[in-house]
Amino acid sequence: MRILIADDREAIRKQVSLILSARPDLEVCAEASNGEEAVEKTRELNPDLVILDITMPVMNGLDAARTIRSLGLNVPILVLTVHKSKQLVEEAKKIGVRGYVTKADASQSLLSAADAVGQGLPFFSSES
Amino acid sequence: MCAVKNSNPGLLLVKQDPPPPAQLHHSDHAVQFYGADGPFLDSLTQSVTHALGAGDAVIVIATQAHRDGLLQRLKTSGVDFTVAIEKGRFVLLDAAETLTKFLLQGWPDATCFAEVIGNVIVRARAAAEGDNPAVFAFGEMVALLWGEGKSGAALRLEQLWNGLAATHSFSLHCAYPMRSFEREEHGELFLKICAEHSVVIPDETYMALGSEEGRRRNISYLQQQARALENEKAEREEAEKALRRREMELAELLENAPEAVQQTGPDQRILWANKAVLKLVGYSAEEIVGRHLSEFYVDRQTFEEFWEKLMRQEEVYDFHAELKCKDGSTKQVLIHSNGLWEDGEFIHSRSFIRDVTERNEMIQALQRAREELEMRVNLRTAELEQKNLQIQEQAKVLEMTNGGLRELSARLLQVQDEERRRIARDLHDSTGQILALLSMTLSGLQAEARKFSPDLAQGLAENVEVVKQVSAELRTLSYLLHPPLLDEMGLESALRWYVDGFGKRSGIKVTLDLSANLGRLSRELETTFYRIVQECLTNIHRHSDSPTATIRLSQSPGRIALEIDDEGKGIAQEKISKIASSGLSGVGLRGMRERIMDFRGSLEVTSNGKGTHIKVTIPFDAKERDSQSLGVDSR
Repeated sequence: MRILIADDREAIRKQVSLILSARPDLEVCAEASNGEEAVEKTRELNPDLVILDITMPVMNGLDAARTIRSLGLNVPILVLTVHKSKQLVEEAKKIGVRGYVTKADASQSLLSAADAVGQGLPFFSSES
Repeated sequence: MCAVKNSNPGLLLVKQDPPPPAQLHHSDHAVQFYGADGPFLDSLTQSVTHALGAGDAVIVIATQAHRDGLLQRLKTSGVDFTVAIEKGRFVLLDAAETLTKFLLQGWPDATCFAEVIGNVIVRARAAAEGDNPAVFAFGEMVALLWGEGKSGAALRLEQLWNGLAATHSFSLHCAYPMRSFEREEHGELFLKICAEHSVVIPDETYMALGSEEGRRRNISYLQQQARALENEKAEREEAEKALRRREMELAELLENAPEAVQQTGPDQRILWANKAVLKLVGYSAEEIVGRHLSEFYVDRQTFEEFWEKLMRQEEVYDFHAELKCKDGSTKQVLIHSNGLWEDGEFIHSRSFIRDVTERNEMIQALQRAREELEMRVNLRTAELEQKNLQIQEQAKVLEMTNGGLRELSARLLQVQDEERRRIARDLHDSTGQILALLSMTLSGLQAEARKFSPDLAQGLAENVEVVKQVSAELRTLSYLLHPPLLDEMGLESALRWYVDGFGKRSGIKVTLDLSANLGRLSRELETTFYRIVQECLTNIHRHSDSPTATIRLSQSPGRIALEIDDEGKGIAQEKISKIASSGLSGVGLRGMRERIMDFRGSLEVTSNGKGTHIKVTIPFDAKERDSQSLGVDSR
């Protein structure tokens, strides 16, 4: 499964890649440091899963998700954020985001979430 | 008393009979008073006829009229007097002409008289007939003198006649018209004339009475008339005396009147002026009377105007004039005047003059005082206006300062918001991300450690938990400083998140009612609404004791309204008033007011014992917002 990781912090992207690298079937095909870049690379590379941070410069993750949907791309989107908020989860669901994992839970839940969302199933870690 | 007005026929009490002829003796010196010429001439004609008939000489010294009347009557009576005249027995002389022959400087000269009249008598006597002829003389010369007012000369002439009688034998008949003695003061002279005669013959009204009884009755009547006249005269004198006294009093009153009174004749010269006039102009009566009135007028034109009014027979009232005084000063006067006119002829003016100099000066002083007062008032008003302007300027400065302070305060709030936001971002995005990274790293290490050291894995697991706790606390702190969701998800989500947390922390049941179509607003406006809700809920929690809170955010054309209600104990009315008058209020409310001021919004606070209602209204144009936020919000 080809995965696009979008986070403005390189260290986070590396750590996420490290977590995902535990599974050989998961491949990080591209990284983006902001929402706009994520939209561009998603359109360009057509990954199987897009992992979006919310708080990013230029364009935040929710807006990037909205844009991807507005472009007609049906790629599964997983939000990976430090925000722990029901409202954010609800908002993300409205946009068409399939999964929501806080960064604090990433080590435990990210792989499961990536699997689920990649297969078209929802994953919202303990409803945040 | 001989003051009998016997010329009046009305006095006759009895029927008038023809008068009896005068019976005079040779030496008689008779005087006859007569009222009308007719009866007198009749009487004289009888005497002359009698004398001529007796062959006596007759001398008549009379006026032309009387001589003609006599001769006419003699002719009518059939008396032939021409022979007597021719013989010189009947002598007719003109009284006035004869007088000239013995009057020296108006006074009868005895010598001339004796010579002139003596010769006439001697010649007439010589022409008389008989052995012992008598001479009858009739004279009117004394009456002429008397009539000319020469009473002394008349008396003297009577005496000369009497003296002549001593040397020449003749009877003399004098005649006076009674009208010569009409005045009372003639009484004494009348008696003297009577005293110079031996026979006094009353006028025809008495002599015509035929009987003694009739004459007595007439005398009684005359006495009654005399008494009545005496009384009337006394009364008249008394009345005249009273009148004179009254006149004197009035004259004195006028003379001493405080008001100046003055009379001016038709020649415009002053006839009389009372003391007040003299005092007014400072002249003596001698200096003022006779002078031309215009000399006292400062303005000749004013005098002309005054005089023209008088000459038009106008009543002059309140005529203003300025008069010259002896000492060179002038007096302001008010004149009331009119003219005394008789048969259209101006006799004199009667002027009442009032000195109004002092009054005018007072009026002028009053006027000056008023003007000064007005000036002061104007000055003071100007000063006050100036002060007012200064105050307004100061108020403007103050207003500007206040405005500046408000602006500064709002700016401070913005800066505070920005700073909070930045710190929150730093905490959340930087520190939070590092902690998240740390947590992920530790989790990875923990998984590795489990393979060779369960203890190390356990220690790492504990560290992961610590990091999670720190992350949670950091997130809470960050959210309180600035809700990151506000930027990412907008006001609605941020409010829901905040209200949720607030309800849990405070135990207050909060109802959030948001307009579905609100959409995203500007960051500043969203922050403002968020902070206001935050402030209000904090106040409700701290002060109201309310178990509930309701937040309603609604949009209507042109405005967004945020309403927060609670069911607490309310805010004191005094504090409400302060809030209403933008005076001192709680820092929180003031902060709210200053926040919304930037958006030209309004803040309403109403409260009673059942709760508080706060309403913030901000003008808002959704179309404008939409046109500005086209595209993707990249915050």
